[in-house]
Amino acid sequence: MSSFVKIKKENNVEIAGVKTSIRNWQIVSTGSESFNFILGGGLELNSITLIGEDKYGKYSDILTKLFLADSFHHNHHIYFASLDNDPKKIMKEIPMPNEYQKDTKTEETISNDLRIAFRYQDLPKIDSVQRGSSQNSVTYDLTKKYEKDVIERYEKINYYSFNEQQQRGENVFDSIIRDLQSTLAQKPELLRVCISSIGSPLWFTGESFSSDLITFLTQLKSITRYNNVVCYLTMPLHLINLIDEQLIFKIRRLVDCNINLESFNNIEKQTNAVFKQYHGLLHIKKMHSIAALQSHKPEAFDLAFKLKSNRFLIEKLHLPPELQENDSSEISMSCSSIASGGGNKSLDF
Amino acid sequence: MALLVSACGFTEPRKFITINESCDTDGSFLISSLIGQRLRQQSSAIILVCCHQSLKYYETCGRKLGYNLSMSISKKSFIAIEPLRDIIEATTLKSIQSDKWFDDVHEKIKDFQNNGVRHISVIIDDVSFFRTFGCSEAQLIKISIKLNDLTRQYDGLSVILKIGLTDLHQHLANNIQDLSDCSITVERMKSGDFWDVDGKLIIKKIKCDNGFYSTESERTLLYHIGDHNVKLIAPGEHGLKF
Repeated sequence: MSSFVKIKKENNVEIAGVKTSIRNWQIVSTGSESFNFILGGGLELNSITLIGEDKYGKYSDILTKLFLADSFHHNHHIYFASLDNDPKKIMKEIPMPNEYQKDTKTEETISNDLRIAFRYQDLPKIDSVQRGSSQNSVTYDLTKKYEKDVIERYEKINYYSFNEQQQRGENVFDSIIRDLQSTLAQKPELLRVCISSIGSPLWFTGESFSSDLITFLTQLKSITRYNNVVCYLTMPLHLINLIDEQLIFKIRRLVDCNINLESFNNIEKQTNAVFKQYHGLLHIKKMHSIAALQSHKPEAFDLAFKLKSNRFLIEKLHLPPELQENDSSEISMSCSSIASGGGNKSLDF
Repeated sequence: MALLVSACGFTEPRKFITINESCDTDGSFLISSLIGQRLRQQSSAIILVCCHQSLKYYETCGRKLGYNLSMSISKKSFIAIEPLRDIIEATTLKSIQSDKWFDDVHEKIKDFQNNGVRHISVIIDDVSFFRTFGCSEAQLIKISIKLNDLTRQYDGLSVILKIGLTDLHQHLANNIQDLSDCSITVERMKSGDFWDVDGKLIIKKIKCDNGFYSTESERTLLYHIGDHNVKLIAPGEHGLKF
Protein backbone atom coordinates (compact mmCIF):
# COMPACT_ATOMS: atom_id res chain seq x y z
CA MET A 1 0.00 0.00 0.00
CA SER A 2 1.32 3.43 -0.88
CA SER A 3 2.05 5.76 2.00
CA PHE A 4 1.01 8.75 -0.06
CA VAL A 5 -1.62 10.87 1.63
CA LYS A 6 -3.40 13.57 -0.32
CA ILE A 7 -3.23 16.93 1.39
CA LYS A 8 -6.75 17.93 2.27
CA LYS A 9 -8.03 21.46 2.62
CA GLU A 10 -9.49 20.45 5.98
CA ASN A 11 -5.98 20.50 7.45
CA ASN A 12 -5.89 24.25 6.96
CA VAL A 13 -7.64 26.70 9.21
CA GLU A 14 -10.11 28.96 7.44
CA ILE A 15 -9.54 32.53 8.52
CA ALA A 16 -10.60 35.70 6.74
CA GLY A 17 -7.69 37.23 4.88
CA VAL A 18 -5.69 33.99 4.89
CA LYS A 19 -5.16 32.31 1.52
CA THR A 20 -3.55 29.07 0.46
CA SER A 21 -0.41 29.59 -1.57
CA ILE A 22 0.81 27.53 -4.52
CA ARG A 23 3.16 25.79 -2.09
CA ASN A 24 0.09 24.55 -0.21
CA TRP A 25 0.74 26.69 2.84
CA GLN A 26 -1.40 29.42 4.30
CA ILE A 27 -0.37 32.99 3.64
CA VAL A 28 -1.45 36.46 4.66
CA SER A 29 -1.02 39.64 2.68
CA THR A 30 1.65 42.22 3.48
CA GLY A 31 -0.66 44.98 2.28
CA SER A 32 1.52 45.70 -0.75
CA GLU A 33 0.71 43.94 -4.02
CA SER A 34 4.31 44.13 -5.27
CA PHE A 35 5.75 42.87 -2.02
CA ASN A 36 3.29 39.96 -1.97
CA PHE A 37 4.32 39.00 -5.48
CA ILE A 38 8.00 38.90 -4.57
CA LEU A 39 7.30 36.75 -1.52
CA GLY A 40 5.31 34.26 -3.58
CA GLY A 41 1.88 35.41 -2.43
CA GLY A 42 2.48 36.89 1.00
CA LEU A 43 3.80 36.13 4.46
CA GLU A 44 3.54 32.47 5.42
CA LEU A 45 1.60 31.56 8.52
CA ASN A 46 3.90 30.53 11.43
CA SER A 47 6.78 32.51 9.99
CA ILE A 48 8.95 35.44 11.03
CA THR A 49 9.77 38.06 8.42
CA LEU A 50 12.56 40.51 9.01
CA ILE A 51 12.81 43.78 7.11
CA GLY A 52 16.20 45.45 7.24
CA GLU A 53 15.33 49.12 7.62
CA ASP A 54 16.63 51.80 5.30
CA LYS A 55 18.89 54.36 6.92
CA TYR A 56 16.17 56.74 8.15
CA GLY A 57 13.42 54.13 8.33
CA LYS A 58 11.15 56.06 5.94
CA TYR A 59 10.26 53.23 3.58
CA SER A 60 10.23 50.44 6.17
CA ASP A 61 7.68 52.51 8.11
CA ILE A 62 5.46 52.55 5.03
CA LEU A 63 5.68 48.76 4.75
CA THR A 64 4.86 48.47 8.47
CA LYS A 65 1.78 50.67 8.02
CA LEU A 66 0.66 48.56 5.05
CA PHE A 67 1.04 45.38 7.10
CA LEU A 68 -0.97 46.92 9.96
CA ALA A 69 -3.59 48.21 7.52
CA ASP A 70 -4.11 44.72 6.10
CA SER A 71 -4.39 43.26 9.62
CA PHE A 72 -6.95 45.91 10.53
CA HIS A 73 -8.89 45.45 7.31
CA HIS A 74 -9.24 41.69 7.88
CA ASN A 75 -10.11 42.13 11.54
CA HIS A 76 -7.11 40.15 12.78
CA HIS A 77 -5.73 40.40 16.28
CA ILE A 78 -2.67 42.69 16.34
CA TYR A 79 0.24 42.97 18.74
CA PHE A 80 2.24 46.09 17.93
CA ALA A 81 5.46 46.97 19.75
CA SER A 82 7.56 50.03 19.07
CA LEU A 83 9.90 51.87 21.42
CA ASP A 84 11.12 54.51 18.99
CA ASN A 85 7.71 55.88 18.04
CA ASP A 86 4.33 55.85 19.70
CA PRO A 87 2.60 52.73 18.31
CA LYS A 88 -0.85 54.26 18.81
CA LYS A 89 0.16 57.24 16.69
CA ILE A 90 1.51 55.00 13.91
CA MET A 91 -1.67 52.94 14.00
CA LYS A 92 -3.74 56.10 13.40
CA GLU A 93 -1.78 56.71 10.18
CA ILE A 94 -2.51 53.39 8.49
CA PRO A 95 -3.83 53.67 4.92
CA MET A 96 -7.32 52.75 3.78
CA PRO A 97 -8.11 50.12 1.14
CA ASN A 98 -8.18 51.31 -2.45
CA GLU A 99 -11.57 50.79 -4.07
CA TYR A 100 -10.88 52.22 -7.51
CA GLN A 101 -8.01 50.01 -8.61
CA LYS A 102 -9.78 48.27 -11.51
CA ASP A 103 -11.08 51.52 -13.02
CA THR A 104 -7.62 53.10 -13.25
CA LYS A 105 -6.28 50.04 -15.07
CA THR A 106 -8.92 50.25 -17.81
CA GLU A 107 -8.24 53.96 -18.27
CA GLU A 108 -4.58 53.23 -18.89
CA THR A 109 -5.34 50.75 -21.67
CA ILE A 110 -7.73 53.09 -23.46
CA SER A 111 -5.25 55.97 -23.57
CA ASN A 112 -2.61 53.73 -25.24
CA ASP A 113 -3.54 54.70 -28.80
CA LEU A 114 -0.52 54.94 -31.15
CA ARG A 115 -0.95 56.74 -34.51
CA ILE A 116 2.54 56.75 -36.06
CA ALA A 117 4.07 53.57 -34.61
CA PHE A 118 0.76 51.73 -35.00
CA ARG A 119 2.57 48.38 -35.56
CA TYR A 120 3.53 48.30 -31.93
CA GLN A 121 0.03 49.05 -30.71
CA ASP A 122 -0.93 45.42 -30.19
CA LEU A 123 2.29 44.46 -28.45
CA PRO A 124 1.93 43.96 -24.72
CA LYS A 125 3.12 46.90 -22.69
CA ILE A 126 6.33 46.14 -20.80
CA ASP A 127 5.56 46.49 -17.15
CA SER A 128 8.49 45.96 -14.81
CA VAL A 129 6.35 46.44 -11.71
CA GLN A 130 6.27 43.23 -9.70
CA ARG A 131 2.65 42.26 -9.27
CA GLY A 132 0.51 39.20 -9.71
CA SER A 133 -2.45 38.66 -11.99
CA SER A 134 -4.88 38.21 -9.12
CA GLN A 135 -7.52 40.93 -8.91
CA ASN A 136 -8.82 39.77 -5.56
CA SER A 137 -6.04 41.11 -3.34
CA VAL A 138 -6.76 44.28 -1.44
CA THR A 139 -4.52 47.25 -2.20
CA TYR A 140 -4.13 50.29 0.01
CA ASP A 141 -4.04 53.96 -0.87
CA LEU A 142 -1.30 55.70 1.09
CA THR A 143 -3.00 59.07 0.74
CA LYS A 144 -6.21 57.99 2.48
CA LYS A 145 -6.36 57.47 6.21
CA TYR A 146 -8.98 56.14 8.61
CA GLU A 147 -10.75 58.43 10.99
CA LYS A 148 -9.17 58.41 14.45
CA ASP A 149 -12.28 57.08 16.18
CA VAL A 150 -12.37 54.00 13.96
CA ILE A 151 -8.87 53.00 15.04
CA GLU A 152 -9.43 53.90 18.69
CA ARG A 153 -12.55 51.74 18.81
CA TYR A 154 -10.70 48.68 17.49
CA GLU A 155 -10.44 46.25 20.36
CA LYS A 156 -8.31 43.49 18.90
CA ILE A 157 -5.03 45.28 19.38
CA ASN A 158 -2.33 45.32 22.06
CA TYR A 159 0.37 47.95 22.16
CA TYR A 160 3.80 47.97 23.72
CA SER A 161 5.48 51.37 23.84
CA PHE A 162 8.45 53.07 25.45
CA ASN A 163 6.25 54.50 28.24
CA GLU A 164 4.96 51.06 29.09
CA GLN A 165 8.51 49.72 29.25
CA GLN A 166 9.45 52.53 31.67
CA GLN A 167 6.44 51.76 33.84
CA ARG A 168 7.12 48.05 34.02
CA GLY A 169 10.85 48.52 34.51
CA GLU A 170 11.76 45.03 33.34
CA ASN A 171 13.62 43.53 30.42
CA VAL A 172 11.86 44.55 27.20
CA PHE A 173 12.31 41.14 25.56
CA ASP A 174 10.85 39.25 28.53
CA SER A 175 7.89 41.64 28.67
CA ILE A 176 7.04 41.09 25.01
CA ILE A 177 7.24 37.30 25.31
CA ARG A 178 4.97 37.42 28.37
CA ASP A 179 2.53 39.73 26.57
CA LEU A 180 2.40 37.40 23.57
CA GLN A 181 1.74 34.40 25.81
CA SER A 182 -1.12 36.19 27.55
CA THR A 183 -2.56 37.34 24.20
CA LEU A 184 -2.41 33.79 22.86
CA ALA A 185 -4.14 32.54 26.00
CA GLN A 186 -7.24 34.40 24.74
CA LYS A 187 -7.08 32.08 21.70
CA PRO A 188 -7.28 34.58 18.84
CA GLU A 189 -8.02 33.17 15.40
CA LEU A 190 -4.84 34.70 14.04
CA LEU A 191 -2.33 36.92 15.77
CA ARG A 192 -0.28 39.34 13.71
CA VAL A 193 2.81 40.48 15.59
CA CYS A 194 4.50 43.65 14.41
CA ILE A 195 7.67 44.80 16.15
CA SER A 196 9.14 47.99 14.79
CA SER A 197 12.84 48.98 14.94
CA ILE A 198 13.84 46.07 17.13
CA GLY A 199 17.48 46.45 18.12
CA SER A 200 17.53 50.26 17.97
CA PRO A 201 19.39 52.07 20.81
CA LEU A 202 16.23 52.12 22.96
CA TRP A 203 16.20 48.33 22.97
CA PHE A 204 19.75 48.09 24.23
CA THR A 205 19.91 45.98 27.40
CA GLY A 206 23.61 46.30 28.17
CA GLU A 207 26.50 43.97 27.48
CA SER A 208 24.22 40.97 27.14
CA PHE A 209 22.23 42.62 24.34
CA SER A 210 23.39 40.22 21.59
CA SER A 211 22.56 37.09 23.57
CA ASP A 212 19.29 38.63 24.83
CA LEU A 213 18.22 39.40 21.27
CA ILE A 214 19.08 35.89 20.04
CA THR A 215 17.25 34.27 22.97
CA PHE A 216 14.23 36.51 22.31
CA LEU A 217 14.15 35.61 18.62
CA THR A 218 14.41 31.88 19.45
CA GLN A 219 11.48 32.20 21.86
CA LEU A 220 9.54 34.21 19.29
CA LYS A 221 10.23 31.49 16.72
CA SER A 222 8.91 28.89 19.15
CA ILE A 223 5.71 30.89 19.71
CA THR A 224 5.26 31.54 16.01
CA ARG A 225 5.82 27.97 14.85
CA TYR A 226 3.31 26.34 17.17
CA ASN A 227 0.49 28.92 17.11
CA ASN A 228 -1.48 30.79 14.46
CA VAL A 229 0.94 33.69 14.43
CA VAL A 230 2.60 35.77 11.74
CA CYS A 231 5.53 37.93 12.80
CA TYR A 232 6.73 41.03 11.04
CA LEU A 233 9.89 42.66 12.37
CA THR A 234 11.84 45.67 11.22
CA MET A 235 15.42 46.14 12.33
CA PRO A 236 18.02 48.86 11.76
CA LEU A 237 20.70 46.49 10.49
CA HIS A 238 23.28 49.23 9.96
CA LEU A 239 23.20 49.78 13.74
CA ILE A 240 23.20 46.06 14.55
CA ASN A 241 26.37 45.63 12.48
CA LEU A 242 28.09 48.22 14.67
CA ILE A 243 27.48 46.13 17.79
CA ASP A 244 28.51 42.77 16.38
CA GLU A 245 29.24 41.92 12.76
CA GLN A 246 28.39 38.24 13.26
CA LEU A 247 25.05 38.96 14.90
CA ILE A 248 23.21 39.42 11.62
CA PHE A 249 24.05 35.84 10.55
CA LYS A 250 22.63 34.48 13.82
CA ILE A 251 19.52 36.63 13.43
CA ARG A 252 19.02 35.58 9.82
CA ARG A 253 19.20 31.94 10.82
CA LEU A 254 16.33 32.41 13.25
CA VAL A 255 14.00 34.29 10.93
CA ASP A 256 12.28 32.73 7.94
CA CYS A 257 12.50 35.61 5.53
CA ASN A 258 14.88 38.56 5.39
CA ILE A 259 14.59 41.45 2.97
CA ASN A 260 16.71 44.56 3.31
CA LEU A 261 15.83 48.03 2.07
CA GLU A 262 18.49 50.43 0.89
CA SER A 263 17.29 53.94 0.21
CA PHE A 264 19.23 56.42 -1.89
CA ASN A 265 20.25 58.88 0.74
CA ASN A 266 23.76 59.37 -0.46
CA ILE A 267 24.44 61.84 -3.25
CA GLU A 268 26.35 59.32 -5.39
CA LYS A 269 23.37 57.03 -5.90
CA GLN A 270 20.83 59.83 -6.02
CA THR A 271 22.56 61.43 -9.00
CA ASN A 272 23.31 58.16 -10.81
CA ALA A 273 21.20 57.92 -13.95
CA VAL A 274 20.57 54.20 -13.38
CA PHE A 275 18.75 54.86 -10.14
CA LYS A 276 17.07 58.09 -11.20
CA GLN A 277 13.55 56.71 -11.30
CA TYR A 278 13.78 54.72 -8.05
CA HIS A 279 13.86 55.55 -4.35
CA GLY A 280 15.92 52.58 -3.26
CA LEU A 281 17.03 49.01 -3.75
CA LEU A 282 15.56 45.86 -2.30
CA HIS A 283 17.96 43.08 -1.33
CA ILE A 284 16.56 39.58 -0.89
CA LYS A 285 18.64 37.68 1.67
CA LYS A 286 16.37 34.81 2.68
CA MET A 287 12.98 33.54 1.57
CA HIS A 288 10.28 31.51 3.33
CA SER A 289 10.61 27.72 3.19
CA ILE A 290 8.36 26.58 6.02
CA ALA A 291 6.30 24.13 4.05
CA ALA A 292 8.70 23.04 1.37
CA LEU A 293 12.28 22.07 0.74
CA GLN A 294 12.57 24.74 -1.89
CA SER A 295 11.99 28.39 -1.08
CA HIS A 296 10.20 30.68 -3.48
CA LYS A 297 12.43 32.35 -6.05
CA PRO A 298 11.29 35.72 -7.37
CA GLU A 299 11.41 36.52 -11.08
CA ALA A 300 14.42 38.75 -10.58
CA PHE A 301 16.92 39.26 -7.81
CA ASP A 302 17.81 42.82 -8.83
CA LEU A 303 14.90 44.81 -7.50
CA ALA A 304 14.27 48.45 -6.80
CA PHE A 305 11.39 50.24 -5.12
CA LYS A 306 9.71 53.56 -5.61
CA LEU A 307 7.11 55.40 -3.69
CA LYS A 308 4.33 56.87 -5.73
CA SER A 309 1.85 59.25 -4.20
CA ASN A 310 -0.53 56.51 -3.20
CA ARG A 311 1.36 53.22 -3.72
CA PHE A 312 4.58 51.44 -2.83
CA LEU A 313 5.90 49.74 -5.97
CA ILE A 314 8.70 47.24 -6.47
CA GLU A 315 10.19 46.90 -9.92
CA LYS A 316 12.83 44.91 -11.71
CA LEU A 317 15.95 47.04 -11.81
CA HIS A 318 16.83 47.82 -15.40
CA LEU A 319 19.00 50.31 -17.20
CA PRO A 320 17.13 53.23 -18.72
CA PRO A 321 17.21 53.39 -22.53
CA GLU A 322 19.75 55.77 -23.99
CA LEU A 323 17.61 57.60 -26.50
CA GLN A 324 20.11 60.21 -27.62
CA GLU A 325 23.81 60.84 -27.30
CA ASN A 326 24.55 63.72 -25.07
CA ASP A 327 28.19 64.73 -24.72
CA SER A 328 27.48 67.17 -21.96
CA SER A 329 25.99 64.52 -19.64
CA GLU A 330 28.28 63.63 -16.74
CA ILE A 331 27.38 59.96 -16.54
CA SER A 332 27.66 57.86 -19.65
CA MET A 333 25.84 54.55 -19.85
CA SER A 334 27.68 53.27 -22.93
CA CYS A 335 30.87 51.21 -22.89
CA SER A 336 33.05 53.93 -24.33
CA SER A 337 36.00 56.18 -23.57
CA ILE A 338 38.52 54.01 -21.67
CA ALA A 339 39.11 51.44 -24.38
CA SER A 340 39.25 54.07 -27.10
CA GLY A 341 42.31 55.68 -25.63
CA GLY A 342 40.58 58.22 -23.45
CA GLY A 343 38.67 59.86 -26.29
CA ASN A 344 35.03 60.84 -26.06
CA LYS A 345 33.91 58.75 -29.05
CA SER A 346 31.86 55.62 -28.36
CA LEU A 347 33.00 52.27 -29.65
CA ASP A 348 31.30 50.98 -32.78
CA PHE A 349 30.52 47.30 -32.74
CA MET B 1 16.82 11.71 -4.25
CA ALA B 2 18.49 8.30 -4.34
CA LEU B 3 21.55 9.93 -5.86
CA LEU B 4 21.81 12.43 -3.04
CA VAL B 5 21.39 9.75 -0.39
CA SER B 6 24.11 7.55 -1.85
CA ALA B 7 26.47 10.47 -2.59
CA CYS B 8 26.25 11.63 1.02
CA GLY B 9 27.06 8.15 2.32
CA PHE B 10 23.69 7.66 4.05
CA THR B 11 23.34 4.19 2.51
CA GLU B 12 26.74 3.08 3.82
CA PRO B 13 27.14 1.69 7.34
CA ARG B 14 28.49 4.94 8.76
CA LYS B 15 28.10 5.46 12.47
CA PHE B 16 28.65 9.15 13.05
CA ILE B 17 27.73 11.70 10.38
CA THR B 18 28.02 15.47 10.77
CA ILE B 19 26.25 18.04 8.65
CA ASN B 20 27.94 21.43 8.79
CA GLU B 21 25.96 24.43 7.67
CA SER B 22 27.85 27.59 6.91
CA CYS B 23 26.21 31.02 7.22
CA ASP B 24 23.04 31.64 5.18
CA THR B 25 22.57 27.98 4.23
CA ASP B 26 20.04 25.39 5.30
CA GLY B 27 20.82 21.69 5.26
CA SER B 28 17.32 20.59 6.31
CA PHE B 29 16.83 18.97 2.88
CA LEU B 30 19.62 16.50 3.80
CA ILE B 31 17.80 15.50 6.98
CA SER B 32 14.49 15.14 5.12
CA SER B 33 16.06 12.84 2.54
CA LEU B 34 17.91 10.91 5.23
CA ILE B 35 14.67 10.31 7.15
CA GLY B 36 13.08 8.99 3.96
CA GLN B 37 15.95 6.60 3.35
CA ARG B 38 16.02 5.32 6.96
CA LEU B 39 12.25 4.79 7.12
CA ARG B 40 12.43 2.55 4.06
CA GLN B 41 14.88 0.22 5.84
CA GLN B 42 13.38 -2.82 7.49
CA SER B 43 13.29 -2.86 11.29
CA SER B 44 14.38 0.74 11.64
CA ALA B 45 13.60 3.52 14.07
CA ILE B 46 14.41 7.22 14.21
CA ILE B 47 14.79 9.64 17.10
CA LEU B 48 14.70 13.22 15.87
CA VAL B 49 15.64 16.16 18.09
CA CYS B 50 14.01 19.19 16.44
CA CYS B 51 15.74 22.41 17.35
CA HIS B 52 15.88 24.29 14.08
CA GLN B 53 12.84 23.13 12.11
CA SER B 54 9.60 21.88 13.59
CA LEU B 55 8.25 18.36 13.22
CA LYS B 56 5.48 19.76 11.01
CA TYR B 57 8.11 20.91 8.53
CA TYR B 58 9.55 17.40 8.22
CA GLU B 59 6.05 15.96 7.88
CA THR B 60 5.23 18.37 5.03
CA CYS B 61 8.56 17.81 3.28
CA GLY B 62 8.16 14.05 3.75
CA ARG B 63 4.88 14.09 1.85
CA LYS B 64 6.58 15.82 -1.04
CA LEU B 65 9.45 13.35 -1.01
CA GLY B 66 7.10 10.39 -0.95
CA TYR B 67 7.00 9.15 2.63
CA ASN B 68 4.46 9.57 5.39
CA LEU B 69 5.93 10.56 8.73
CA SER B 70 2.63 10.55 10.62
CA MET B 71 2.24 6.87 9.80
CA SER B 72 5.68 6.13 11.26
CA ILE B 73 4.82 8.16 14.36
CA SER B 74 1.65 6.12 14.89
CA LYS B 75 3.67 2.92 14.39
CA LYS B 76 6.08 4.23 17.03
CA SER B 77 9.07 3.81 14.77
CA PHE B 78 9.62 7.55 14.78
CA ILE B 79 10.01 9.66 17.91
CA ALA B 80 10.44 13.42 17.89
CA ILE B 81 11.81 15.43 20.77
CA GLU B 82 11.01 19.10 20.26
CA PRO B 83 13.00 21.44 22.51
CA LEU B 84 12.00 24.32 20.21
CA ARG B 85 8.33 23.88 21.11
CA ASP B 86 8.75 24.01 24.88
CA ILE B 87 11.61 26.46 25.05
CA ILE B 88 9.58 29.13 26.86
CA GLU B 89 8.90 26.91 29.83
CA ALA B 90 11.50 27.24 32.55
CA THR B 91 11.73 23.48 33.08
CA THR B 92 12.71 22.92 29.44
CA LEU B 93 15.38 25.59 29.71
CA LYS B 94 16.85 23.85 32.73
CA SER B 95 16.75 20.48 31.00
CA ILE B 96 18.65 21.92 28.03
CA GLN B 97 21.26 23.44 30.26
CA SER B 98 21.73 20.27 32.27
CA ASP B 99 21.93 17.84 29.29
CA LYS B 100 18.72 16.11 30.38
CA TRP B 101 17.69 15.83 26.75
CA PHE B 102 20.68 13.54 26.19
CA ASP B 103 19.40 11.17 28.89
CA ASP B 104 15.98 11.16 27.19
CA VAL B 105 17.59 10.18 23.90
CA HIS B 106 19.60 7.43 25.61
CA GLU B 107 16.50 5.98 27.25
CA LYS B 108 14.69 5.89 23.92
CA ILE B 109 17.62 4.10 22.29
CA LYS B 110 17.47 1.49 25.06
CA ASP B 111 13.71 1.04 24.50
CA PHE B 112 14.18 0.48 20.76
CA GLN B 113 17.05 -1.93 21.43
CA ASN B 114 14.90 -3.92 23.86
CA ASN B 115 12.11 -4.09 21.26
CA GLY B 116 14.51 -5.71 18.81
CA VAL B 117 14.90 -2.78 16.39
CA ARG B 118 18.00 -3.39 14.29
CA HIS B 119 18.70 0.04 12.82
CA ILE B 120 18.34 3.07 15.09
CA SER B 121 19.14 6.58 13.85
CA VAL B 122 19.49 9.54 16.18
CA ILE B 123 19.22 12.85 14.30
CA ILE B 124 19.99 16.08 16.10
CA ASP B 125 18.82 19.02 14.04
CA ASP B 126 21.20 21.76 15.01
CA VAL B 127 23.50 21.44 17.98
CA SER B 128 24.30 25.16 17.89
CA PHE B 129 20.75 25.80 19.16
CA PHE B 130 21.89 24.74 22.63
CA ARG B 131 24.54 27.48 22.61
CA THR B 132 21.73 30.07 22.69
CA PHE B 133 20.51 28.74 26.01
CA GLY B 134 23.71 28.74 27.97
CA CYS B 135 25.38 25.47 26.93
CA SER B 136 29.12 25.94 26.49
CA GLU B 137 31.03 24.58 23.50
CA ALA B 138 32.94 22.24 25.83
CA GLN B 139 29.63 20.87 27.15
CA LEU B 140 28.40 20.21 23.61
CA ILE B 141 31.66 18.52 22.60
CA LYS B 142 31.33 16.25 25.67
CA ILE B 143 27.80 15.30 24.63
CA SER B 144 29.03 14.53 21.12
CA ILE B 145 31.72 12.27 22.59
CA LYS B 146 29.04 10.52 24.66
CA LEU B 147 26.91 10.03 21.54
CA ASN B 148 29.94 8.67 19.71
CA ASP B 149 30.50 6.22 22.56
CA LEU B 150 26.89 5.07 22.25
CA THR B 151 27.46 4.17 18.58
CA ARG B 152 30.18 1.76 19.74
CA GLN B 153 28.00 0.43 22.53
CA TYR B 154 24.99 -0.35 20.30
CA ASP B 155 25.58 -2.15 17.01
CA GLY B 156 22.74 -0.81 14.89
CA LEU B 157 22.97 2.78 16.11
CA SER B 158 24.02 5.71 13.95
CA VAL B 159 24.12 9.37 14.96
CA ILE B 160 23.63 12.32 12.63
CA LEU B 161 24.52 15.72 14.03
CA LYS B 162 23.74 18.98 12.29
CA ILE B 163 25.76 22.02 13.27
CA GLY B 164 24.52 25.42 12.19
CA LEU B 165 26.63 28.50 11.50
CA THR B 166 29.88 26.57 11.45
CA ASP B 167 31.67 29.74 10.31
CA LEU B 168 30.90 31.21 13.71
CA HIS B 169 31.31 28.01 15.77
CA GLN B 170 34.49 26.69 14.16
CA HIS B 171 35.96 25.29 17.37
CA LEU B 172 32.81 23.29 18.04
CA ALA B 173 32.45 22.16 14.43
CA ASN B 174 36.07 21.01 14.12
CA ASN B 175 35.94 19.02 17.35
CA ILE B 176 32.72 17.25 16.41
CA GLN B 177 33.96 16.65 12.88
CA ASP B 178 36.99 14.82 14.33
CA LEU B 179 34.61 12.21 15.76
CA SER B 180 32.75 11.62 12.52
CA ASP B 181 33.31 9.06 9.79
CA CYS B 182 31.48 11.21 7.24
CA SER B 183 31.12 14.96 7.22
CA ILE B 184 28.98 16.97 4.84
CA THR B 185 29.47 20.70 4.55
CA VAL B 186 26.74 22.83 3.02
CA GLU B 187 28.04 26.07 1.56
CA ARG B 188 26.67 28.97 -0.44
CA MET B 189 27.97 29.86 -3.86
CA LYS B 190 30.43 32.66 -3.33
CA SER B 191 29.53 34.26 -6.63
CA GLY B 192 25.89 34.91 -5.70
CA ASP B 193 22.39 33.51 -6.17
CA PHE B 194 21.46 31.46 -9.21
CA TRP B 195 18.40 29.84 -10.68
CA ASP B 196 20.07 26.49 -11.43
CA VAL B 197 22.29 26.04 -8.38
CA ASP B 198 21.45 26.67 -4.72
CA GLY B 199 24.81 25.85 -3.17
CA LYS B 200 27.49 23.25 -2.85
CA LEU B 201 28.06 20.15 -0.77
CA ILE B 202 31.52 19.04 0.30
CA ILE B 203 31.32 15.37 1.25
CA LYS B 204 34.28 14.03 3.15
CA LYS B 205 34.39 10.34 4.04
CA ILE B 206 36.86 9.19 6.68
CA LYS B 207 38.04 5.66 7.36
CA CYS B 208 39.64 4.26 10.48
CA ASP B 209 42.26 1.50 10.27
CA ASN B 210 43.50 0.26 13.62
CA GLY B 211 42.93 3.62 15.26
CA PHE B 212 44.47 5.63 12.41
CA TYR B 213 42.12 8.03 10.68
CA SER B 214 42.57 8.93 7.04
CA THR B 215 40.46 10.60 4.36
CA GLU B 216 38.79 7.98 2.21
CA SER B 217 37.34 10.38 -0.33
CA GLU B 218 36.42 14.04 -0.70
CA ARG B 219 33.92 15.26 -3.28
CA THR B 220 32.40 18.61 -4.06
CA LEU B 221 28.97 18.62 -5.64
CA LEU B 222 26.57 21.40 -6.51
CA TYR B 223 22.92 21.03 -5.58
CA HIS B 224 19.62 22.43 -6.72
CA ILE B 225 16.55 22.00 -4.54
CA GLY B 226 13.39 21.29 -6.49
CA ASP B 227 9.86 20.97 -5.20
CA HIS B 228 9.96 17.18 -4.95
CA ASN B 229 13.62 16.32 -5.30
CA VAL B 230 17.18 17.54 -4.95
CA LYS B 231 19.29 17.56 -8.07
CA LEU B 232 23.05 17.06 -7.86
CA ILE B 233 25.36 18.60 -10.40
CA ALA B 234 29.09 18.07 -10.80
CA PRO B 235 31.08 21.31 -10.80
CA GLY B 236 31.69 22.42 -14.36
CA GLU B 237 28.66 20.55 -15.70
CA HIS B 238 26.82 23.81 -16.24
CA GLY B 239 28.39 25.89 -18.95
CA LEU B 240 27.65 28.98 -20.89
CA LYS B 241 25.39 28.24 -23.81
CA PHE B 242 25.27 30.56 -26.80
